[in-house]
Amino acid sequence: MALLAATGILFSCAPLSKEVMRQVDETLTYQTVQKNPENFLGKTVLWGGVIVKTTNRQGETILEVRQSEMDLEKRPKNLDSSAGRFVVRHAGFLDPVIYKEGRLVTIAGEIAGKEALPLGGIQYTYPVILAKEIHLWEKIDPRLYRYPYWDYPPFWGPYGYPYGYPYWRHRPYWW
Amino acid sequence: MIVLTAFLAACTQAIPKESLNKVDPNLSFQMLIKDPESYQGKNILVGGQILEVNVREGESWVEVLQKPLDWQHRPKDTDESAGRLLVRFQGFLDPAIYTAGKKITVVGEVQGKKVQPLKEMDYAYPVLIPREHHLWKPEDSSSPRFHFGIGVGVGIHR
Repeated sequence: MALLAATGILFSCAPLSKEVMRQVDETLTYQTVQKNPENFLGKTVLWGGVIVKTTNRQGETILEVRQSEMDLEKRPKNLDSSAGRFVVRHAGFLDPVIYKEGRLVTIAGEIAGKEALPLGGIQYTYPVILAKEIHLWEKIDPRLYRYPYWDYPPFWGPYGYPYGYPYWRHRPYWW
Repeated sequence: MIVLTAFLAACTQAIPKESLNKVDPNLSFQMLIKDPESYQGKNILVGGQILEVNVREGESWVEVLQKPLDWQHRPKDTDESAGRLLVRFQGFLDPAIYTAGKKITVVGEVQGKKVQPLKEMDYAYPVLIPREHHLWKPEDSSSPRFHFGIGVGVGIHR
């Protein structure tokens, strides 16, 4: 029962809707599918990574994503190691200024095959997925993750708030 | 106390009341972007992040990525956006001041739409003629907005 509850919590942590999460086959990792996407046509996968390039066509947006591992929340992590890249096709417009190079995404999508595109001097074969749901992770402002509160340098101005910013990441003074 | 509040409120007003009064309260940017032409002549309050400024003879076109506004009418730091728009200024706006990334809030009259290429597609931008605008200082958005202070005054009475 406790396990069920825990699973429930973990599921609710995922940034995508339950309907989509139910369709996802979590065993189909990027590494499994990469070599032969054709064997998995129509399956729904949940992959994450870093946007490398955004292309807007009439009625369609194409994201090129560099795959990464994901944490329990399904947020991409260990961004410097990657098993490869993939292409996400989204029916509709995603603004390239928001869905920009370097941003983290987690995507549930249906495997639609592969596509070979030039990358540097080679032809790179990308697995292609049709997006069902895309979650764009908020940018982490490095200023928010400087020091733990007990090791925070005293800094009082001109806009200083001595416990760092934003205040809700730290305990209020009366705790 | 009332005077103080009024003073604070006046301080935070980026867009003057007279201009705000002209804004059509029923017109949202979400409605406008779907069909810019049907709202011609209406005034809208909209803000966002500057993407590009194009200076032409006698006018300057500012491309803005719309963002929701906070209570001060300052565009928020968020990924939420309903789309892009063009603001057509009369005269010269220096692109070195109106740089990409800065935030701007505009009250403007809807002029119509303009279709422009965006990467490999065509994007239909609503076009506004600005009546009033406010360019936010870059540090405005990242610094905390409330500062409380306690002051001690010393007076000498004779």
